[in-house]
Amino acid sequence: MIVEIRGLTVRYGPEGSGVRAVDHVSLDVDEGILYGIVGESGSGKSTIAMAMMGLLPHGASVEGGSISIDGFEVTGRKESQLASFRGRTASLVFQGAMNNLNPLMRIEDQVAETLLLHRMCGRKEALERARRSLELVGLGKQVWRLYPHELSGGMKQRAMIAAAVVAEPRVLIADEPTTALDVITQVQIVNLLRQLREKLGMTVILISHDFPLVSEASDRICILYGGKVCEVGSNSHIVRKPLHPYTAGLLNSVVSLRERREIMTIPGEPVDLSRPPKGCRFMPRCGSAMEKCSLYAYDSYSPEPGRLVYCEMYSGPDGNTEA
Amino acid sequence: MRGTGLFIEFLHNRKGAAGLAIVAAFTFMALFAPFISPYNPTSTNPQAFLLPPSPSHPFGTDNLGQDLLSRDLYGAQISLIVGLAAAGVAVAIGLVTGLVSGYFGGLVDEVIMRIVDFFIVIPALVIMIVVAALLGPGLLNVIAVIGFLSWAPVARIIRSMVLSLRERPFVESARANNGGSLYIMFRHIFPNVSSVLYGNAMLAVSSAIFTQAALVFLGVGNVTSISWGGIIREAYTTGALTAGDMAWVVPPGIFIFTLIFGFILIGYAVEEIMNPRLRGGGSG
Amino acid sequence: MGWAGYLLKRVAFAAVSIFAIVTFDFFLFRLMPGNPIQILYRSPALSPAQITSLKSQFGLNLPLYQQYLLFIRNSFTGNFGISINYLQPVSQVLFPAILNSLVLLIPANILAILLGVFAGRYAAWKRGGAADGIITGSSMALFSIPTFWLGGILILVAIFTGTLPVSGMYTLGAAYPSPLARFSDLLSHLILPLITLTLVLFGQYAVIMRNSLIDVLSEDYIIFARSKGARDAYVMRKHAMPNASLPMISIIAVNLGNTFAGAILTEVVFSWPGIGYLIYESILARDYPVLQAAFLIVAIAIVAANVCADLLYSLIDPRVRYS
Repeated sequence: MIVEIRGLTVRYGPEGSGVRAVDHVSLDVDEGILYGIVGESGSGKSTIAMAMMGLLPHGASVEGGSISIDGFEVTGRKESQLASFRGRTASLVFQGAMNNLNPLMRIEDQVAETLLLHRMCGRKEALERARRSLELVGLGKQVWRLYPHELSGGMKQRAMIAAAVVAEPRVLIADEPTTALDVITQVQIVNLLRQLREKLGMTVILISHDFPLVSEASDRICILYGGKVCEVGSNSHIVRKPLHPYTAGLLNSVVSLRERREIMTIPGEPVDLSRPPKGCRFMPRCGSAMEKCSLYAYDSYSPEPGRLVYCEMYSGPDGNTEA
Repeated sequence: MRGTGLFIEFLHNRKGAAGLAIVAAFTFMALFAPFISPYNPTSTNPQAFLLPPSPSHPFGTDNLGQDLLSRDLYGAQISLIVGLAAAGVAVAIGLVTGLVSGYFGGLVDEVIMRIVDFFIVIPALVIMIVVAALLGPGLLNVIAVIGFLSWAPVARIIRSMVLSLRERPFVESARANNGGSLYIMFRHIFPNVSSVLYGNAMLAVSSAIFTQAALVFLGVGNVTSISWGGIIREAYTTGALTAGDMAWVVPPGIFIFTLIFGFILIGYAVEEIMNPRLRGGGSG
Repeated sequence: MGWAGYLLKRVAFAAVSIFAIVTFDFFLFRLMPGNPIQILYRSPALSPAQITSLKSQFGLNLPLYQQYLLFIRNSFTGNFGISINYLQPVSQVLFPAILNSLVLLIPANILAILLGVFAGRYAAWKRGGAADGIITGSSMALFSIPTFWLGGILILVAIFTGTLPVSGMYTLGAAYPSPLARFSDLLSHLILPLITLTLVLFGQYAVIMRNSLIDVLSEDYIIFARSKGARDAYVMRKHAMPNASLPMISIIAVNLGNTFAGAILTEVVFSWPGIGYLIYESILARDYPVLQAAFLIVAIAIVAANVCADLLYSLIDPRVRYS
């Protein structure tokens, strides 16, 4: 297990009041896989990414739980300890094709910076390794000495990935790495992440609202809703036989060219985290909701080996309750 | 209404409420100066000149025996009149040129913006001194000099806002419906720049108050009316300052400072409401 | 367009501005009520010979457009006529005043920028905290204080403590045993005007620095730099400050005209024999030739400073150099 998240709870706003954007989330990621996290906006997926990097914004804080990445406990760390962890043990790539690179620095310098920050090598070697990393992500010689404003959105995203992987971190967290890019570039970026995982032996955590994109690339998938996990399972489990009604709803709302069927959207509004419903958060929008759902305490059930679901429907005698 | 909501938010902003209270207090001072002043501010008294502060003359008297407290109270009038009127002139010119420049774009925009650049770069106070000196004293002259030389920053801000508004759907649809340029500018674009205009208008008022006081201090402009800048000037020229007459020098300066600060607070509060990032402690 | 194009455009604008300033300067003094220049050269202070030579030099008997062309030529050759007040060539009056102004203006600006950058940076770092409140509040207070009054208060303090000279550049009639004694006399005269002007300028610089830094600190590339393992101080130095310095440079340049207003008032209050004090005295004496020349010099200096700022900006920002 290279990433272990246990009962992670992140609050925005002051203690006592405020909003729990992530509420008792537990995840396990095996080494070397591509792990997908899917959720709509407000599901807490970006907050999890930032918490894993120890980069929660002002006003957000970890209220409880733990995050262990390659044996390093992220929560409760001092800034200086986090700094030597970031970029070296775990790296981050995120959305924002416009402004995620410093407009005043050359591309190669921004990639080499990661190595220099960790004093992994001298300036000359850092530049050489940066250029190799840029080549690895498909950015050739002519791009190395350019400035960000001279690059397209897709190229900037590649450069960002190069800077994130140049120090060969154990884990790469990619938070909406393809949003704001055109469809072809999206596919290229996801393919690049898969290649990098193989070439560098990294674990990749791909976070997106885009279910088809994640299911295209991931080995395992975790579905989030309203700051809670809905279900976790292997790619084929989740796609072929979703257990949670929300997952099923997501699958039905995906346009598929192979099957001719009606596209269903999930009725209702996303959960308001400042006033979450009692019990299951998805209940107000759920077609299979039962009375006991409002008492649901988010116990996890494991109806099949290798998968977990957080739904009262599976609490029957054959559903194993896990601690 | 959006306006009312903003006003309520404004009152909840500490800076905004404080600024409003300050300006209200000085407005009261200016309006009721004849009633609250203990003496006629221009009546001289050869028996009572250069008196130190006392219960009957809290700020003492000047070299002509005029009561300084009364003069300081009356001084609010000129500052507010010149400040508001000159800022009004500057904002009106800046608004119209900014709207025209941003809306029409092209050559019109290019020419207007180069003129704006010119007016922003040149040392306005030097021109104001020269022009005010050449025109001679007079309230209207001062208002005109300050107003006509302070509009450029307003024009620049309004123009940049109009440029982004011009591409918005509601303006495009108004244009598609054959709305006249003037109609679109004032019916559709103006309401959207007005909020930013308020903040800048407040800053324009504060800088006009400052400039008026500075001009009078330098001996140009409306030197004959009672004003704070004039009272400080008299303290310098009569040697009261070097004689250490604090009661003469300190109060008018504090009044200028407080009134300017009041308008800046209001302007800043408006800006904070428009651009929440400037507020302290926002999520980063 | 490229770097050369950008610089060319800025220099061209500066040239046009200077031309416009000369024109403005000419007509301001000819077309104002009473045609001040014409009246002037009937001044009883001048000898008939001086008047005749001036009249031919400035073409006062020629049509207006020829006077204008002559004025342009004279402006570029530094031939500004004779001061009515000093009865010397204007250039001889102007030159020492410019030097004296620089003695005050350069240290005041350097100090104010250093202090402003330092304070603004600290406030942005601690934004929302007590230090931010104090720095922002006092900065706003400082630029609300009338310059001439602040100078007056400092004079009061100096008089009550009897420590520092409050007027002029040197002690009147002093005989100095050594150049060092002369220099220390200059320094003691410089202290109060320097404090006044520095304080007045400091406020605006601190607020501009703080606000541009806060804008920059919320940019994506700041988060990305931290995710690579950069510590706060490094992020501030290497990423935030260079980017925040761009608006700082342009705003300082644009505000130079206002900066000079503060300088005039400070010089007048402390009778510092610089160009601001010269302007003041010339107004009182209706010494229009000096005024005309002083305005020209100040305006051209500000335009030139703006070109320097543009150059500096383009050195920092590659988007200007390669676009």
